[in-house]
Amino acid sequence: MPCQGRWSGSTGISGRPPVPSAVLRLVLVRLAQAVPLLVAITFAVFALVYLAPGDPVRALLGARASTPETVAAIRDRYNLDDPFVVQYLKWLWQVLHGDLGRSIVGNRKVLNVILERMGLSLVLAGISSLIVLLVGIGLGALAALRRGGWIDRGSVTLGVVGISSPAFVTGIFLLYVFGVVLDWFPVYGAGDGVLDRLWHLTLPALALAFSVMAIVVKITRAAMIEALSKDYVTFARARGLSSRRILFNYVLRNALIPVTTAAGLVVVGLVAGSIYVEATFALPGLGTLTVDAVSKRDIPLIQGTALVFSVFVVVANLVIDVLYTLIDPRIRYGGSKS
Amino acid sequence: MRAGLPRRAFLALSSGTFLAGNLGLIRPAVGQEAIEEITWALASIPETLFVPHAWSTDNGVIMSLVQEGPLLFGDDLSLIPGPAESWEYVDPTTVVYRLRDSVTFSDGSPLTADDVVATIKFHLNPDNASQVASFYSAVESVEATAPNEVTVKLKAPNAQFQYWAAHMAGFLFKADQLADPIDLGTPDDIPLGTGPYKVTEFAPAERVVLEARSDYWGGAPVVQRIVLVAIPDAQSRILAMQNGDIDGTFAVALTDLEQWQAVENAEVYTAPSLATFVLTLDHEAEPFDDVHVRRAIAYSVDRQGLVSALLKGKGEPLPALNPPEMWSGILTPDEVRAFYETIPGYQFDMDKAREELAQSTHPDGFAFTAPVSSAMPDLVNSLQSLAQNLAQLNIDMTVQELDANQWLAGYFRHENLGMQAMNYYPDFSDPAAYPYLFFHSDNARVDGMNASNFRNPEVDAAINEANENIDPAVRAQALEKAFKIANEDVAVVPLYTPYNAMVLSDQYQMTGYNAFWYNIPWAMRGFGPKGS
Repeated sequence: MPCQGRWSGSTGISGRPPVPSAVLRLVLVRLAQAVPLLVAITFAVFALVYLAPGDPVRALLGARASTPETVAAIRDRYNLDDPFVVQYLKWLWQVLHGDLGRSIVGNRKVLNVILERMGLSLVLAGISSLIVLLVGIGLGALAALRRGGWIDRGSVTLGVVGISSPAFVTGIFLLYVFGVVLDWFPVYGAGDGVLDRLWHLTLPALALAFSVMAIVVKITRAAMIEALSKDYVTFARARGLSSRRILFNYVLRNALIPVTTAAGLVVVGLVAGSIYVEATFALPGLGTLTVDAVSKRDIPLIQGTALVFSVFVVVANLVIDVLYTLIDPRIRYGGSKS
Repeated sequence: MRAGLPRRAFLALSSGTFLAGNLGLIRPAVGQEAIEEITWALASIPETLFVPHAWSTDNGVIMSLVQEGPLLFGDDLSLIPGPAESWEYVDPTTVVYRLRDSVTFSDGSPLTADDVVATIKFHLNPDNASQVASFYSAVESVEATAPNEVTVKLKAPNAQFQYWAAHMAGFLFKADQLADPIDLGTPDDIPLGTGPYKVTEFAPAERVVLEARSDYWGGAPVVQRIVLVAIPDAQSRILAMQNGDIDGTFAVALTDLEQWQAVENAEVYTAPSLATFVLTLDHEAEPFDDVHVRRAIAYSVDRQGLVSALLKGKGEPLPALNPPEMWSGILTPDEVRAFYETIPGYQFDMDKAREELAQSTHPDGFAFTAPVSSAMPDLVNSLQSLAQNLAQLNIDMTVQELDANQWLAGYFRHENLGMQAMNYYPDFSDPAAYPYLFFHSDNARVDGMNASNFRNPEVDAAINEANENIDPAVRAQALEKAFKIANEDVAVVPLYTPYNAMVLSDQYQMTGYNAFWYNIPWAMRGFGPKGS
């Protein structure tokens, strides 16, 4: 993690882009570090599923009468009778060969199932992030500039309401108002084609964004207030720079660094919130897939989704760290000096 | 082998069913008016459409419109002809099915006896891990005895075997498709069927689109296109119905009934489910090894109160394991209710409960924990109500809600059973089905349903007799004996049988909604424009 103490000096940053090779090295090192991390995560998830009470065979058969031969055949097909470590190694071996195995419920290739679901989740997360960033940073900045005014009070209140209402409650509320009463948006499903999909995903993305936006609003507001009080802002004003240039090049840019840090939290919040939102709006994304897989103890599918989410979080954090170097070139990775 | 019916009686019985089938129980076309398209919501769309690997009600709702067994369930739940125009027990262990000439799969190829044989052999092979293999446990051999004739030989007479042919366990596959089943059921290899619809689009977990087949042997369907969509959240389903986005759904919980009834453009249908909701008490461990403790518990259940409060009256208290309609073909519901009056029914009575407990080895009460699946809210509430009543007897009952899979795995691990709350929805309507599952010592084992560990040689013998005979009088007598002993000994504590509920747009009507809604081609059962 970057050391935030280092930019608390009195000079603002406005500077040059970082050396490209340093960024490339950062990316390569982090990707290499990610491999053992992913093995550790998938092993931990595998161990938790193994230790948790429950049985995938029962998810398949439910309470139905079954013959002992059926039960034995199902256990054999998915290596459920192998020792724990052997099961994990068999899975890992498959993954190294580019095969995530087959799901227990549905007997489908895990990779295909995940790929089918991933597109929708990525679009949903993308639209939500956009809403969170644009509206969140905008409201936060406005609140800081009009400190104590009605925008300030209003945006803070909105943030508190958002963070305290679960995404599924917001979802049902939005559905009722905009789907049923006003009939502006569809009530369920994911839509076909680009425009139709955007139309279908607007309400879910809003519901999802609303639940995490408060973090961005509050952090932007605090960082802006702090940046506005800095000497370099006073200097800039004294130099007669336009207030627009001061706002965008000095205040906002410096204020964005803590906001970027919060982006990691936002990513986690979006992943967690998407599980509820997908169920409420009947969207077949990765969130509902994961919940289903866990409730049915579908080990290959749980492993596959855990791997995808881990990769997503690793990549998201990497992107955030690269963004740091773009926003603040003084931050150097791998031991370079400032 | 127990004495079965003479051959003539078998013929009479099977042809009787056959006649009932021809009296118009399949009514595809309600009016002349065709319906272009309906949208139907399910709680989930399966990942695979291959029923042997995904035996669920959601899959049944979809694939019962696409695939058929040799026979079908009629509106009255009896067996009626399907792709097989007749079936006959030539002796108690030999059944012959004769296929119609005109039946084709949706790719135009004709249904042959070889397809039927390949289907049954698929389930018999343990390597295929068929989830419905238990329907075929009685089969000794199967062969095509003519191009349009299949002969099944049974290991022993078995009255319950016959239902495979109409259940989704008996869905007929094209032999070619079963030869390489690895991707069967995925969007790359969708099962072909002989049913009234074919699958034209399948997005796993999202939606399925069905098109009517004009060449269906039973006549062209009224509804041309059926779009089935997944809406997992109950509130979202209600909003979708209110908004006119869906035309109906089978996913209606009794707890949401009032909300559904408030939707203006929708009509709620209910029908007896034939399900049984029971408590099992482990007869082989303290404290439930004492019959007086079990009777005290049985007297403490306020069945009528549970039906009124939890099921909003949409159900019936059960004095015994079988709902009255489950005896169909053997006793009429009124005869069943009269019979239930003659055996101990343990009507709610806390004084009698107190008397029984006083005679037991635990007169001062005891403490225990009852696990229950959080996916069965009715049972959770039933147990909580019972716990309050038991507190009056100084019995300290703790209700422990568990994740559905965790609870189910525990039930079938068959250890530390204590008290369990279970429900079972029928696969077919046969009065020996539930007694075999819950009372027979065969099932008092790991992966078995008899969590009471109830073992009684007389009851086993009576159930066997009812299973191996198809003479209604013999079966009735044997089962009455089994029920009498089971109730005296409190083999299970029956609670109630709820109704099923569905919702349909008020533009349409449907006359064939019954307990097997997920195992009938529902859009062909009196489904059409309202008032037609």
